[in-house]
Amino acid sequence: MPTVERARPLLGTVVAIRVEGCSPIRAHRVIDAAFADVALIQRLMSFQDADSELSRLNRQAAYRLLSVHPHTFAVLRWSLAIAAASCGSFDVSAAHRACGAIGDWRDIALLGPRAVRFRRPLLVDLSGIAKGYAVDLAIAGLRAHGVRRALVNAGGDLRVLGPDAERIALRSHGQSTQLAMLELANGALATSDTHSGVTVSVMARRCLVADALTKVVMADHRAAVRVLRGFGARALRHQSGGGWQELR
Amino acid sequence: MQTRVMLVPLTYLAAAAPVHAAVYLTVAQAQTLMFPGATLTPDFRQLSAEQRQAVEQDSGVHSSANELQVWRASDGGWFILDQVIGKHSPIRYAVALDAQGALRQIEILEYSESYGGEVRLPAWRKQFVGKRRADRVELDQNIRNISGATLSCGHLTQGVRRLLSIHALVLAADANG
Repeated sequence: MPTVERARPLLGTVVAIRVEGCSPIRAHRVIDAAFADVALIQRLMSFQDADSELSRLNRQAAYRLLSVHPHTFAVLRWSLAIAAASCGSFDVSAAHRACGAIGDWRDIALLGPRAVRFRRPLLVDLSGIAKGYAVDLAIAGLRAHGVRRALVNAGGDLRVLGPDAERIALRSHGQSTQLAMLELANGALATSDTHSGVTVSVMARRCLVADALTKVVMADHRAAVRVLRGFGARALRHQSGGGWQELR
Repeated sequence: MQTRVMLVPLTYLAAAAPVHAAVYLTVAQAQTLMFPGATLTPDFRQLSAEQRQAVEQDSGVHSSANELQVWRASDGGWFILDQVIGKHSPIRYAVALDAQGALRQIEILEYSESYGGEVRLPAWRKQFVGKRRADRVELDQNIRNISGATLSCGHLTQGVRRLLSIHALVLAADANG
């Protein structure tokens, strides 16, 4: 059975989906469905798009209770769980706090199965976690369609479905003394960097967790070790000009 | 989750540049996928200097390309092939427009990334000749996956905006005229 791989511009990056072990017709059909899942997450959770559900939350949730899509609710619930576990070093309300908003993640109230209310005006930005969620959703959809081996890669935030290890090279910001290669099976990987020259890669079962934990490691890599352990995740950190180091 | 980490020292290079090059779809495959059951007729053309200027003004996207690789679909839609520069290398992509010129689908056909020091693969690979067996890193194949900070698809978005202008100002005008 051939490998079918396709790519589309989504989530502000290039999202590639590879499926193995299916007939081409079936592979294209399940890939179409997986792209539709990713596009749905983009529509719901884009910070830039004024029509997204997230933008509606940012405009109105401080003033009234809003009912949201289960996906939006799930991402918010994960965001709060990771914020709590990291004592707020992952905070979806932090990036735009300078824009006059004063609250933090603790002001996001999840009520009932799908209802959201902000206790204070907030500008929530899910870009540090929604991409990982989209990758997880695409993988879950592929698995539900009976696909056994697949890879979804949203511009470097990726997840491997199946027990066969996939080899992945890590790209660091700035110069390096080492090349880092990973083998990953049934798991996810996300990489972030900063202009200060630090690159962080996190491996976790879910891509959403890997995606969010890169920011936790970035904030304080020593304190992050405990959080990583709590989520069963591993992390590598790279400083420009040096090598990669696994956090333990 | 099963993971294994391999760290290979770079003895010579200041920066490593894994290269990832992927061909996702051929033109024919993309056409079948985007216009199932339809017949596509090539309708290649050259943009005149005036048309190019009008498109640039309308879309706000500068491009020096005059060649337009367009196919007309039997259902009235359009298949357009285009290329933009990603971070370092070209991205080849196709768009499907419906008969009204609305964007129906985008597919990337070819995409390659190179990172960091912009070292081409053969040179980069040579550095590992002595290391390969000891570190069990198999570099004979093109590296299929790279994880790094997210690349922007901004150029692609601009490219698509330009094609929509081309449709409105050139293709639709010709089809109606």
